[in-house]
Amino acid sequence: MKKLTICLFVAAALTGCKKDFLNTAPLDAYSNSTLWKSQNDALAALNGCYNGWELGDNVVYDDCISDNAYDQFPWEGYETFASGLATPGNPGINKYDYVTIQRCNWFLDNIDNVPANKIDATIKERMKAEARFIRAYKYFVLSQDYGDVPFVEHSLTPTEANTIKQKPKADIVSYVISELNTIAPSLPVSYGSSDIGRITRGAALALKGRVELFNGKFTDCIATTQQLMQSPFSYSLYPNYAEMFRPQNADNAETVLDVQYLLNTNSAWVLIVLAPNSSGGWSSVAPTQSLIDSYETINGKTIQSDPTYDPAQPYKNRDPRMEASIIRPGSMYMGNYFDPLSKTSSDVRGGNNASPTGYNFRKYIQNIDDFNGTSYGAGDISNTGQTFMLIRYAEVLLMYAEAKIEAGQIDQSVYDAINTVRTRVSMPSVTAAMYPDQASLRTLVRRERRVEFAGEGLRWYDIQRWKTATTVLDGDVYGCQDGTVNTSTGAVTLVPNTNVNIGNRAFADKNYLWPIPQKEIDINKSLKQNSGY
Amino acid sequence: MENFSRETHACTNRLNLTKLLLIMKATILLVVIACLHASAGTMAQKVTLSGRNMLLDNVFKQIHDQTGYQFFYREDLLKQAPLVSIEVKNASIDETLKECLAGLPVTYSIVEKTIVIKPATAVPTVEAPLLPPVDVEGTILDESGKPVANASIVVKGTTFGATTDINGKFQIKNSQESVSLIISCVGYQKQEITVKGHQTISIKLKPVDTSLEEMVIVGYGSQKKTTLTGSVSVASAKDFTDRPVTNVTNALQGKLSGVTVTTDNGQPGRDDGKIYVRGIGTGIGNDAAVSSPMVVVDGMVATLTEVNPNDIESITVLKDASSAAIYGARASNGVILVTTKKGKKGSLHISYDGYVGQQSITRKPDFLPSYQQAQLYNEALVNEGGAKKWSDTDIQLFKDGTDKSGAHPNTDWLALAYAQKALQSSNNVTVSGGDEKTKYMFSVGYFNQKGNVLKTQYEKYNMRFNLNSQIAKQLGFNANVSYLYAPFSEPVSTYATSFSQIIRQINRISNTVPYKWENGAYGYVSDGSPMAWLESPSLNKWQNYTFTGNIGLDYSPITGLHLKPSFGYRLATGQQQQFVSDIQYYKGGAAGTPLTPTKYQGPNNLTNAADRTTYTLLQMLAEYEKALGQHHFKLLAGASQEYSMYNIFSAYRQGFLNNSITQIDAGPKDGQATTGSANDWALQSVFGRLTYDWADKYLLEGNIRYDGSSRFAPGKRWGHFPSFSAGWVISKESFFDNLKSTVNLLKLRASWGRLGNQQILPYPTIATVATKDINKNPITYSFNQGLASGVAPVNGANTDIQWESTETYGAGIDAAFLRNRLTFSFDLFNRNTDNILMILPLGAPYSLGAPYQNAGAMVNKGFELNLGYADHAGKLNYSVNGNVTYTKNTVTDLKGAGPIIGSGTFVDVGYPLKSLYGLQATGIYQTKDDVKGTAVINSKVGPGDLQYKDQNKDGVIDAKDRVYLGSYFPKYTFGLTATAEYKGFALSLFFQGAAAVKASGGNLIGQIGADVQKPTSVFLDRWTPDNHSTTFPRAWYKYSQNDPGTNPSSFWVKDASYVRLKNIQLSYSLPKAWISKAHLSNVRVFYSGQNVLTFTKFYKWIDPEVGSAGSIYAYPQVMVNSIGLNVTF
Repeated sequence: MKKLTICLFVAAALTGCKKDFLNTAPLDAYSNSTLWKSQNDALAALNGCYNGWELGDNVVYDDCISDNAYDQFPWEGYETFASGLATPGNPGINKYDYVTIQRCNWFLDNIDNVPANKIDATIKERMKAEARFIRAYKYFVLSQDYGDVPFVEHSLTPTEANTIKQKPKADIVSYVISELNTIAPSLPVSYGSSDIGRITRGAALALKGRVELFNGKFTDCIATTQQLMQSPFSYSLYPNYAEMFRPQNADNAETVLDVQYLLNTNSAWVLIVLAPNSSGGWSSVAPTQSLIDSYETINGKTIQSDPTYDPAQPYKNRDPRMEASIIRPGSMYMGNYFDPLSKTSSDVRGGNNASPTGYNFRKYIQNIDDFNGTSYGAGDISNTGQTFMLIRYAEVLLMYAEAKIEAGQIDQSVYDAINTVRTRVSMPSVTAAMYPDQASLRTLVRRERRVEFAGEGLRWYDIQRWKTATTVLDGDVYGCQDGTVNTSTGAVTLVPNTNVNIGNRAFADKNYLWPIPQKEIDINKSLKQNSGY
Repeated sequence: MENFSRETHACTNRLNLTKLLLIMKATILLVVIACLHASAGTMAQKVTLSGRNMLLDNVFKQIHDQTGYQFFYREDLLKQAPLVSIEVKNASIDETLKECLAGLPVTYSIVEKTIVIKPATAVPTVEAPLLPPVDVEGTILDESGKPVANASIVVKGTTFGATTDINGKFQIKNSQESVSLIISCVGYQKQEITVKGHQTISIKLKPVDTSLEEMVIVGYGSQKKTTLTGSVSVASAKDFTDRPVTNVTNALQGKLSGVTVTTDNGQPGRDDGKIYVRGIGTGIGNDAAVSSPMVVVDGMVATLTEVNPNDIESITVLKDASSAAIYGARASNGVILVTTKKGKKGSLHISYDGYVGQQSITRKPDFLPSYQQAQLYNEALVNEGGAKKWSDTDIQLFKDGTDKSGAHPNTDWLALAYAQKALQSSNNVTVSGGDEKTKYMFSVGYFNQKGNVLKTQYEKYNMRFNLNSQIAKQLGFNANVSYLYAPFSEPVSTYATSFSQIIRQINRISNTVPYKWENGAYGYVSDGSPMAWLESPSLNKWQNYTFTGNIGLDYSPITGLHLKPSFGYRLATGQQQQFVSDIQYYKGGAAGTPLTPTKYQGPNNLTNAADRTTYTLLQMLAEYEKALGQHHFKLLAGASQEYSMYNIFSAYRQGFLNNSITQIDAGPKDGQATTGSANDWALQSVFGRLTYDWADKYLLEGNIRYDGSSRFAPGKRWGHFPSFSAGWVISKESFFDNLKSTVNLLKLRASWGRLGNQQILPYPTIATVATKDINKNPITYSFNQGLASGVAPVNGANTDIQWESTETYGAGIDAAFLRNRLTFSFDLFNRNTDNILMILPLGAPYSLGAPYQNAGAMVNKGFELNLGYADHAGKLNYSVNGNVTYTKNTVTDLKGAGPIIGSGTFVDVGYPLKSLYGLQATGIYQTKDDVKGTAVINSKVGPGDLQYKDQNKDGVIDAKDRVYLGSYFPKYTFGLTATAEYKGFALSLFFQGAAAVKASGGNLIGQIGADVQKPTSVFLDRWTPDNHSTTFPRAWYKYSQNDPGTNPSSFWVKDASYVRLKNIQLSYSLPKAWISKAHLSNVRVFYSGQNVLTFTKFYKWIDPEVGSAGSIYAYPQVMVNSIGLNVTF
């Protein structure tokens, strides 16, 4: 018995002295010390940087903070900002987010830990460039929204995160441009099939062009966009504007940069906010009358300047991009003539989940059956494999034109660039005779951008940089006119000057930047709130 | 010579008014000057005895040991008594005595804590004494010098003696040279005195100190109650077996001072209360350090859930640092020590305890009937500038119920949902016994609880085996093994799969929606129909198995030294089967309307999961006890190490052909998913304790513990936790003698100590790189419609964190008066928790799960008071025991991170942790002029809306105007137990409550709306242009200015103090004479009512005990009526 006791004591003593007894480590997650063993590890970490780097939601929703669209649901936050009611405590929309930047920083901090013999040097350079692009992209967006923002290139400690100061927007812009300039050569012009969707050299240059244009560096922008119009690049416009946004036509010759989704695993839910109630949607993003009115007539004239324009039949003889982008009263959509005017219609203005303006976006939901029993969807438009374009070649062309106009270098190439975009949709070409000077061309290219990219989330940033908000955003928001839709023929009879007023927006100068969320100011006392908030 | 042997008188000591006043004075004095407490857990007054052919002496000694009762009898009286065999378990003293004295020519009476045994009839005069007579006279006095009447004086070895008269005088004639006198009196210690020759003596009696030998279970051992210096509360077996409680936490509610138990859920299997010892010590922020006390069952860290209440011998709650410090590591929130019943020497002993009861919901929201819901919706729409939804015809149809189609129903969703007859029952059999060397206890229990909602059920199959054996002279062996099988089931919703979703929808779906249309189709709203879910085959089942074993040795190589190695192991596994049915809804209508499919909820799916937790404990204890004269030393040294691992694996498939499947293989692979995760932790500890006392009068104790936790980084992982305490039993001092007749015990205690806490999620110092983000979404991307799996850093780490520590100091006073009939104890405490392990919000650029920081501090100050009184009036025994705990909690530091704002709550320095936060409502605007010029929340504010105070006077009402609106953690909690016993009948009432607590009704007041909102009756007195109400604002639907959810305000915060008759019990023990024929020693039947009556000013349909924890997602509290039976063979 004594022996047994002694044995137990000894056993207790021995196990008690086991040195690493208290050294436990996570069992279901990696740590930095267990990762970075091979190229595959690095690739997985880079995929982590791509995860959520940009969202289809932003593409689809962001027009709601512009004069292009109106969001009827207060809890979605867009109208809070659009109507000038955003406060630091209730900013409406919050894009003050560093998750992707943090992941890129972490990736770049660590990728060199992969043993050199376990990773292809060229691919490593490319991967670094991809991560640096994503980081630069995020900083560009952050500085667009918030102006001066905290800037970091490495992982932070909690104390650093709570005390970091803002970097002036101009410095961030310089940084972004310099980064894109540096990494572009490391990126391929195109990828093999399984890598399509990765950042290309063209994307880096196009983004650089956008940053330059947005920040008044017009000559730089001209040079940058020119590069994209020549070898080794072979971008061209997709022949059919309306069909371009359908999932099966993704990654076409016009695509410069996009955000990709995959049914069930990396799915985009957001299409449901576009669709009309009759198609199972919520109509969160409702195009405004203002947008409708910005489309030229088929004659290449604005509705104000074309005497053939009939306010009682406003949808007749318009820029085909209107019909391609928007479902309006009387549109044939999914086998029925769209009717937001009849009280018994499930799409009636003001009805549950129906558009308050009488318009829905068609872009991206050209055919809802694309998401029914296909590899892009199983009948549920809140779970799809839709791809959303972020930069397409048409924008490169219009950026080039705009930069040339703003730089005062007006020549035929300006008209050519604009006409390339117009010709695709069979709109009449513009000439120096029609638009002879900088001012008229500026109006033209701005209108062209608005209608070409309607529903693609670019409009707000254009308003922001053109500083036109007080003109275009301030005031009442209107939907379509009263009238009737013949649901057998699609014919509409509208009563002029009866546009439904769906809300009022007030714009103050402070609204050119978003309020930094109060939560962040509370945490980091060194943050300076944007002026006016 | 007076031959007085015929009768022994119970002596009396008259209480006079002066004395009472004196006592009262003393009480007041004690309260005022006091600094301290220890719950006066009374010693068990039940006897468990078994043995064959025992000497009565021996029997009496055992009764004394178990109960503290003194025996008083003439030795010769029982000299010829035969040997007795006795078998009682948990019997009253009365029963036990009846048993063992049966057939003997004696009677007995119980006076206070003394049992006097007398001849049954006058015995014949005894012959002349054998010893020479003595001639003595004298006076017997009590400790304060007052004469004691009816004390008995017996000459040792004879039957001669005398009793004192009313002046305390006695005389014994014919005295001899030298004789020993034995002086005894009920309530006083027996004294022996040797008298030489003729003498006049004066003898002072000392009161019996019955609590002297009471043992209290403390950390890693037990201690005499009188020498305790820490603050502990003790609950005994009868607190658990007498009341049909579903689990141990609920049984503790209101029973112990310093222990607050809150219960906010009545669902079978999920009704465990939350226990707080002396307030909330920690737990700020998300994933905060655990604030519940540590639970130790028979020496092993465990949970209260796994203990069968019937198996519990005692529960000790260690409340202050000094008593808990020996558990340093996890003791900062108090320690609950559970000791299960052990076998006792004697022959086989069997008992049965059982009850059956029925539950019903205590309080349900009183939603208005459909016509009023419709009227209110119309009114709200009009208020907000819209048109009415329901026509007058609609409302009339809702009201008269003549429309049978289903278009105008008045559906009582609550009645539909809480329709199950909810029976609960418990059956327990305990077998115990043993001999000199080996003792055993074996118990089995079955508990079955059905809920009021269809398919809710919880069952527990308990088994426990405790064995102690002295296998050699110096070596003992003990083993405790228990097993619990606990199947649990609940229905689940098809939308957002969960049970709480069903409860939520039941609480929000309007009475204007039909349960079923006349054509049989379910009525439904956008989320579906809760009754369709409830009646579908959807079911979530968990089968949990817990095995716990603990074996140990006790080796005593030399006297006083014990070496106790032990090994403990627990395996807890669970298996889940959750089937979620798909549901097809149909177009509803009058009878005959074709069932056209409409909404579909699906696909159906199945989750099979298995989890497992293992825990091992290796422990070594060494104890040494030594007495040197009046100096008593006790030394404890120990070391332990613990390791625990948890893992879970889960598989999911969807799209089964039908709804009858419980296994994965039957489903298609498309859309399947598997998940698995695991974690572990380890702890090493070294500890020691020294207790010292001098003559049980001056008490000292010191504890020290070193703990190493795997949760901290090397270098930070070891924490040391010392404590000291001292006590002074003033009543043992000689200068106290004069007071002793009134104050039987007076003890002062004081303690200081530091305790630790590391109960946070594992691995806080290791940054993880995972395949799922912080919201558990997979970190993936896709390139050209191909999946790209990714990883990313998810949780940040902080290698600097260290032990959270709680410094507690306090002082207490224990006292007993009127020969221990009145007991009193009072404690003051101050708990300072520092370095609170919490997750502070971090700036967005950090972008990882924020790591733990030692960032908070808070103070809990308070007192605990216990008062008890027990007495009898003739054959009626009665007792009253009350306790009050006051705790004031204040957050004292957040490292600049405050205020941390939640939804209607906030945490900030200077306020209690559980604070309500919102706007301050100053009234209801009555006219447009009232509104004019005031700061408003938005432009829609008008007459009938709440007016809020513009705290910062900036002209608008916004988030900056929010203020502290009271705490929803009660400042006072109290319990009161009153018992009365008469001839086998016993009545006990247990009241429990809380005061100085605020709560907000939240969603439970209902809402106005179309089909997923319904208002309760509070809306009836709303403001309208015709009813200028000051008690309720105008009806709203979309507007949020009055809404308690969007804009929490003081308007919705109410006093949630309550007193509840938690339990009432009436029992009857069958007379021994009846049951002894059936060889039964005890048969008791009882009725018990749980949560019977509640008094509160809070909303009358919201359970105040639930308070602010109440939500439309929570299963309400239940009332239980049961009848039960206890039988002992």
